[in-house]
Amino acid sequence: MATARTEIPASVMPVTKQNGQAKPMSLQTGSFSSSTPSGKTPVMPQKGSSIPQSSGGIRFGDDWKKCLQLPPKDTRVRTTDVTATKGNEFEDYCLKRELLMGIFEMGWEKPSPIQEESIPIALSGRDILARAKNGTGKSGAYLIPLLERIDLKKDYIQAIVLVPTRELALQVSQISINMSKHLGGIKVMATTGGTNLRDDIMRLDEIVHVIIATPGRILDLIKKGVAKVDKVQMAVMDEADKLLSQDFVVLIEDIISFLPKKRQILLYSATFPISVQKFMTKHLQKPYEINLMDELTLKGITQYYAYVTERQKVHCLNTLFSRLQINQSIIFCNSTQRVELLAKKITQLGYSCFYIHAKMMQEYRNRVFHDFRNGLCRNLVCTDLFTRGIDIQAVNVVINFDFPKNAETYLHRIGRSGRYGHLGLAINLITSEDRFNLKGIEDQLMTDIKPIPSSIDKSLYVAEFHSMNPDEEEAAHKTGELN
Amino acid sequence: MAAPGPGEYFSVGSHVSCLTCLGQRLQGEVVAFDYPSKMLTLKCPSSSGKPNLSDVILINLAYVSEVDIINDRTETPPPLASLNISKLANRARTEKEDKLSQAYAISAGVSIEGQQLFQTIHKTIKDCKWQEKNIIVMDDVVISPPYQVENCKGKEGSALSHIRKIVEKHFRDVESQKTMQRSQAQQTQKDSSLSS
Repeated sequence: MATARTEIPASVMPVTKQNGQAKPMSLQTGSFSSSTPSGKTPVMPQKGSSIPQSSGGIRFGDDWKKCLQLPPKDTRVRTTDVTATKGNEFEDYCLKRELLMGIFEMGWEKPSPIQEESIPIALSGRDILARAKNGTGKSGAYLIPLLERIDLKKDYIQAIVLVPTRELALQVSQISINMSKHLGGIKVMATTGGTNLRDDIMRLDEIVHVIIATPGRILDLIKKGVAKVDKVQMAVMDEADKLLSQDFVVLIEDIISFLPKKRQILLYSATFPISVQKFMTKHLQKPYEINLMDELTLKGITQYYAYVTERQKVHCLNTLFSRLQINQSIIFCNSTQRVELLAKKITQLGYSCFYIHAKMMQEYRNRVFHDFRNGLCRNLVCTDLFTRGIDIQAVNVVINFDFPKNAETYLHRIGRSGRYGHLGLAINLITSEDRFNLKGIEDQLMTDIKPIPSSIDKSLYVAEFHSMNPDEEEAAHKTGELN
Repeated sequence: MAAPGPGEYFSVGSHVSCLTCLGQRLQGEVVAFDYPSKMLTLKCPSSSGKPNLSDVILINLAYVSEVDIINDRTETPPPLASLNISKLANRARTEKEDKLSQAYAISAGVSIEGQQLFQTIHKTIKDCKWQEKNIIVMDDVVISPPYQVENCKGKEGSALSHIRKIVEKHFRDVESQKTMQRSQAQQTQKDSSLSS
């Protein structure tokens, strides 16, 4: 029976707190790798060995918790995206003690909802299609099972994580390195475009267990024969809706073709466009589907487009303001500069409006949004600050002054989460440059965006004009309420 | 004050305090009141202590001996929050399935050990069900009575090895709990002997 490890090498330093949500303050560029602390090499416990019992009922193995270097407790208020859990503990997943140490030393105390759903299924080897917001512990949801399943006795690439941006690759690799520091030498490598290819090639001459990469770079390394992924047992696609967009999908298909037939694929995505569904059907085996999104839906929203030139947009907006019965409206632009220009123009037209954009301080943005929500102003001009849909009941009109680039943004701007009986109107100002986008978004979201009619039925978006259903009308008539 | 008469009602948004016939004091904001059934709904601070949550309590005024209006609200109450009906329906269906699954195990004569193991597995892996006296996990692994590690059968792979780890850990935890209880009992005896 192997001796349980209770010592932590003196050279282990406290790490910056990460919970899979916050971005690290500073990052190294280029390749990353974890290394065994100098001096003593940790002895891995025998697989499946039990912990010896000692007198008094105190398990000998529990001593390791007292040696943890825990970061300060995170006391920030958190939303139900990370607190609405079933009450699992990380220990429930039968993880290696060394991995548990890494998890706790990152300040992760209990699994978040997406981690609760993902980790045990991923450990069981099932393919997963998970829908979750960013910032809800998604990285931990796939990294914990990924690191748990790495076999240090094998000196080849066993897992890859594909992400759409260099920043995300660096962030995920940093979390991996921090989490695996007690695991006795897991080698994690990040490789992205924009860095020296030669450095990556040299790095791959050494042992690498996990690669975290953007698609273009890793495909390049695979095709050069430098990165051998023929024994990869787990492939993760984070932000899969972006990875499977037109820019990347060909690269992804190519990478998949180099993986072994028997592999596990985990897909994490905030939206489920057609491209993700197609990929799932083609490459995933009986995927376990997880959906933690309050379903943003376009149900009840009437969507129109107006085909205009760029110069006609302000005039068109003025016409909409004068003809529509707006309770409150949100007007989206695609850049901070355009938000400010448009807000100024709207004021000149004689309408009241607030505006917020990403370059404003968070505290100020919160205050403006709060005031708008409380009805202090009728119109709000903004960029895409929100990642969970806008649930202000009073907003009955959303105007895409600038048309969004992708389906996810469109859904977040216009969609409402799971509320019945809340009708609304969405109007898209479309220029010739947007017309292909319009078609693509319609297809991906399986929705219908019609040309704007000369007059719009108020019952579609004004509360007082919502039609009563036939039974209600009859009942109301009988009581003499209708005259 | 006495219970309200036919024409009287508690205003939504008012704060009231009730003394039940069991001597329990309940205080909170009125959410709804139904005179015919004498049911009062109060929103109280959450028992879990979380500031963003509330307890909602239904009170039958027939069993209340004393009602005090702390703060009567006269303005028009705000509109009721929208409910995500489909989410609530899903939640109700899930809870019902869980209870039916537990009831099935009892009626099928499954041992207590088997029932406890099922709950442990179900805690982390929801794709878990009974088939007569066998536990079926993810349609891949079958655990037969008497539900030990060696009774886990299925296609070799990650699912089987992970389930075996859960089963092994479950019985290890159960055993350590028993040891702890025994130890506490002994401690109690020592304390008794000291006092005598």
